[in-house]
Amino acid sequence: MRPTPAEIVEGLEYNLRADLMPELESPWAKRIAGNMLWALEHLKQRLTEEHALAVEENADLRAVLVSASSARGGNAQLADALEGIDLAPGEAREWPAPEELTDENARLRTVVDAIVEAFPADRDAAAEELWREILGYIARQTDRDGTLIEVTPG
Amino acid sequence: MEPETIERLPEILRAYLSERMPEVRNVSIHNVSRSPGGNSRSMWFFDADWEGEAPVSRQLMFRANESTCFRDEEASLEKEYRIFRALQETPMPVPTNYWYERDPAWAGEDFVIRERVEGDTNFRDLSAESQRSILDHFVELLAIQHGLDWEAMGLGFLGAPQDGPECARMVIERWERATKRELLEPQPVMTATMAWLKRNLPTEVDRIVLGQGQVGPGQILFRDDRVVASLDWESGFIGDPMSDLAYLDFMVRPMIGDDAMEGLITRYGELSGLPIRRDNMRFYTVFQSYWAVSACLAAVNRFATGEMRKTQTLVLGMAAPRSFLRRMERIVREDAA
Repeated sequence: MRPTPAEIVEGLEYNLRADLMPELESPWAKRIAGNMLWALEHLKQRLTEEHALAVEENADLRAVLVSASSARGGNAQLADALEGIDLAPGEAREWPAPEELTDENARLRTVVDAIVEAFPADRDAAAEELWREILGYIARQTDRDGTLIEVTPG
Repeated sequence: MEPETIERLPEILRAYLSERMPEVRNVSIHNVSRSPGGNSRSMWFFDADWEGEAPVSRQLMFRANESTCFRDEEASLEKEYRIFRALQETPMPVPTNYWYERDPAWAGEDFVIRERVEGDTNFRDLSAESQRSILDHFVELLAIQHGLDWEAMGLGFLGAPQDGPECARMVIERWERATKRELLEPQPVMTATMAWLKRNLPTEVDRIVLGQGQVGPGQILFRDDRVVASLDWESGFIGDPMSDLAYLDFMVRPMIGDDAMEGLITRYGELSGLPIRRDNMRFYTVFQSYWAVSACLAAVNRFATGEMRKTQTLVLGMAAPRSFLRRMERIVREDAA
C-alpha cells in the first residue's frame, strides 16, 4: 500500500524536525526530540531492511552449524567438546513470516552460543578453522545489526 | 520518575531541604531544570535559598535512582553516594554529596542531593592546548586516586580482591552474571568475548586500588583548563589500576593522537610509581567494552519488557554501545587471526 510505512515514518521525521524541534527550548526536550528522531530512522531501517537481513542471518547461522557438525565428525577434540549439542541446522522455509524468522534465529543462535561456550581453549588446526568461521559469522552479524542501528537521522 | 512527581519536584525539594536543615527558615526553590547530560540517571539542577546559615551550597542537584542502564546489584545510587562521601575527605575534587534518601514517601524512589559545581563537560570542542592541560591535570588526579587508602576510607564494601588474579576474575564474573540476566536473545558476540576474557585474565597487579570504572572526559567537569570535579562514581570498584588507564586510553587516544596519549601514560606511570602493564590494559580494553555493552543490555531489557519504555532508554540500549561492540568484536577476531 502507498504510502509505504517507511514513507510515513519520513513524514513523522519531517514534522518532528521542521515543526516541533525549533519550538523546543529546554536542552532536555531537545535531547529527547533527538532521541525520537533516531528511533524513527531506526524504525524505517527495520521496516525496509530487517526481513532480508534476518533471512541472511539465519542462512549464515545454518552454514556455521553445518561446518560444526562436519568438524565434530572428523576431529576427536571437537567431538569431545561439542558432544551433546544438537547441530542440526534445520531447513529454511521459502516465505517465512517475521515471527518464524525470529524464533528460528533464537534457536540457531542458542546453538552457536553453546558451541562458543564449549569450545576448547587450546585448539588444534581443525578446531581453529571452525573457530575462525564462527568469528567470521559474528563479524557479519555485527555488521548486519549495524545496518539497522548505526543510523543517522537525515 | 512519574510525571506527577516531576511536576511536584519543586515542592518536594522545598519540603525535603526544610526538614534536613531545621536550623534555617523559609526555604525556597528556583530554576528547577532537567539536566540534559548523563545517560544513566535522571538529574535535575536547582537553586535553593533560605534565611539563616547552613553548611550547604545553594546551587544543588537532585539525582534520582531511576536508571536507564544500571541495576542496583552492579551500580546503585547508594554505592555511588558512599564513594563520594569517602572521596570528600581526600584531595580528589568531587561535588559535596549532602543526603542520600531511601524513603519512597518523598519522590517515589531513592535520590541524592548534591552540590552543583560550575564547569564544562564538552571536552571534544576544546583547543588541543586546553585538552592537553586538562588531561595533564586529570592524570595527576588519577595517580592520586590510585594511591588512596581505600580500606581506611571504608570502601571495602565494594568487594576487595584478595590478590592480583582475583581482580579480573571478580569483575568478569560480576558482568557475565549481569549479561546473562539481561539478555533477551542470544548474543554470540558476548559469549565469544567472555571466552576471550577468560583466556586472557591478567595475573600481575602491582597495587590494588580504588578505580572509577568510567574515567576521563565525560566524567569530569573542568574550568580554566583544570579539572574541578570528578563525576559519576557509580561504576567504582576495587581492583587493577590498569582498568582505568585502559578506559582513558580508548576514550582519549582518538581525540589527542598516539604521541600525546603515550605521553600521558608515561606521566601517569611516573606520578603513580606503577609500571604500565600493556597486557592488562589490553584485557581491560576488551573488558570495558564488554561491560559497557552489558550495562546497555539492561536498557534494552527495560524498554522491551515495558519496565521503562522511553526513547532515551532505547537509544542508550541500542545506539550507545555500538562502538564498544565493534571494538571487542575486532579484538577477539584479530587475536584468532
